[in-house]
Amino acid sequence: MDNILLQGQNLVREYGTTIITRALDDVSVQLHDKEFASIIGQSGSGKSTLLNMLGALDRPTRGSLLFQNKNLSQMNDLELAEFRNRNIGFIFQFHHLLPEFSALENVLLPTWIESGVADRKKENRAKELLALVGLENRMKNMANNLSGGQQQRVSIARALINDPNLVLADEPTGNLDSDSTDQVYELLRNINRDLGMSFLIVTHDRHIAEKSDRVIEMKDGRIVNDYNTSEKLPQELWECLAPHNCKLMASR
Amino acid sequence: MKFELKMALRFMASGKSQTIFIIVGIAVGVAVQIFLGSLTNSLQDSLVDETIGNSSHITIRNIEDTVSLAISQTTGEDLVFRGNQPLFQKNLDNWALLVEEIAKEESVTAISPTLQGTALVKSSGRDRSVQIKGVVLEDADRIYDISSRMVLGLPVAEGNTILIGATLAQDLSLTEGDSLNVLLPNGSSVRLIIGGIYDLQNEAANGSLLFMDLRRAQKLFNTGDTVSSIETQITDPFEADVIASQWKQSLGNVKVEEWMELNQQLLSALSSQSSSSYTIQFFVILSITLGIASVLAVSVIQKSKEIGILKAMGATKKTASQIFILQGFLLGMAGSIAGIGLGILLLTGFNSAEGLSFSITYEWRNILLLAVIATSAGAIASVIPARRSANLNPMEAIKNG
Repeated sequence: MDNILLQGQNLVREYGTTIITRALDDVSVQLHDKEFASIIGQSGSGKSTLLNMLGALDRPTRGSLLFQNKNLSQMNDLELAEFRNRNIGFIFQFHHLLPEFSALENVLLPTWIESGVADRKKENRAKELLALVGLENRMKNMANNLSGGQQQRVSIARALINDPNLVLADEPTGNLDSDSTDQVYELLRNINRDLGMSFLIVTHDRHIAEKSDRVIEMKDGRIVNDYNTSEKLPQELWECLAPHNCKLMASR
Repeated sequence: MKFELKMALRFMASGKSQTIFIIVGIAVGVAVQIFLGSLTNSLQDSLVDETIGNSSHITIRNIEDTVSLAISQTTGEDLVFRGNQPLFQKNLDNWALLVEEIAKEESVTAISPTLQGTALVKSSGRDRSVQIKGVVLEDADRIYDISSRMVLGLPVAEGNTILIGATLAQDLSLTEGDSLNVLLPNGSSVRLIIGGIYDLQNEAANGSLLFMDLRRAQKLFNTGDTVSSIETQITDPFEADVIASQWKQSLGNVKVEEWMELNQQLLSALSSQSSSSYTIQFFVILSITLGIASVLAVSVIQKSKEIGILKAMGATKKTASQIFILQGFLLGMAGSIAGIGLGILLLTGFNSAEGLSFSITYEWRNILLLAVIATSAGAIASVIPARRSANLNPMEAIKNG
């Protein structure tokens, strides 16, 4: 975990022209190769903004972003799109599969975007990945004919198809039941271990945060805490993470 | 298959009823255009053909053709008489040269030197005033198509043998082989034999035209080797004005009349008919375009989440807009193809209906042009939705919730 994969420096993101809302306030953060990190924080704390920025979906108002020493702020929209396609896998809370396509086709979408056409080799890879997420029997199913957990597993396979260096997940288990949540979490963890890609997960769920290598805690657009979970005793860690879960429970 | 095309097809398939409705809408529009366009053209052709199919398109006369005197006679306050009195008629004496010159023009299909004069026909105690056309029958046939429209006798006009129309024959109870007395303006009279009776499907021609040999007519009217006019037909009657003005330049001191000049009313009726037809066609295309645009605008909103995901996964603005341009193009094309089928079905139905004075013909060139226009309209209609799709912010689209 020594090599720096992604480095954000003094990132500021402001919205609006007359009334300026600062969603990110001077955030500096580094992500390492093969790291499994989670971002926690209340709603509106800037978690998703940071995630989108690190995934090159959004540009910082100020500050710089280096990915493997390439400066993302100097890329144009076209280069950023290609960059996302090659290097970043996205997993969203509400699965966001395309209902017009089957599970297999959904997994293949990033490869189509990359090359413009279908590719046999990639199709085999997609089948392997679907097998990896335990859906080898559901490949031909249309996205709508899958359960929530299954859909999320398809979108995990889709995030992996172009062998990205970094997988970003925004509340990947946010609307799954606890069994599915455990399955999905285990899956992500195994992929991280076996395939070696870095994961950054925005979560409300302290069970997931607890099992990450690293926890980044955000509040009001700033990082207020950033530590490796191995540095803390289990009880201590649980306490640290507690407010977020409680807050969430209360608000539901 | 190209990824953008695949997306476009899947998007269209997913909104099946939406897609089918708009395709049917375009098809009806295209079918109406085909039907209306063909109807207008056929009607115009049929009218023009009826008017000038069997008459001279461009006529050449002596520049002092007829000199007439405007006269009016009054007694006190009341107008008794007003009119034009022809004083004399001048003929073309260099007509052979003129014919040679005219023949150089490629689009000329018929040239008939004609000596025309008025006479009175008398038979069985009745008389009719007629126009005698002295022609070379072979040449006149190219304009008047007499030979193939004989109802009695043979199409021969030589010496004293003449051809008369069916109405005149009926009025004067004449038939093939009969002879009749022709009284000329100069007071002399001559006996001629009816070689045949024609029906030119035109009351005026059938009732008052009389074809005879040019040489015989020249002798009869004592004009020497002259003709009163050279009648011509050209390939495209609507070029008559252009050719006529060329001839005015090149032929020198002659009078060149073309049918368009003499049929201004018909022409303005035809042109207002065409322009109203074009107006309707324009608005049909406009409504097709708006229809496609609105369907696609809704589709962009419906699919914004999908577009957002595609963009997050690296789809470019170009891809995002192409998906919708292709949809517009495909909708326009599918609608056009269905519309061609429907339009031809309509035309066939119309043509097979009974009691029609003319049938609608269509030209594939025009139909394909309409299809190309409708298809391009589809692509153009998609520009605004495509731009919206291109500029869609992926973060907005994939926001949780």
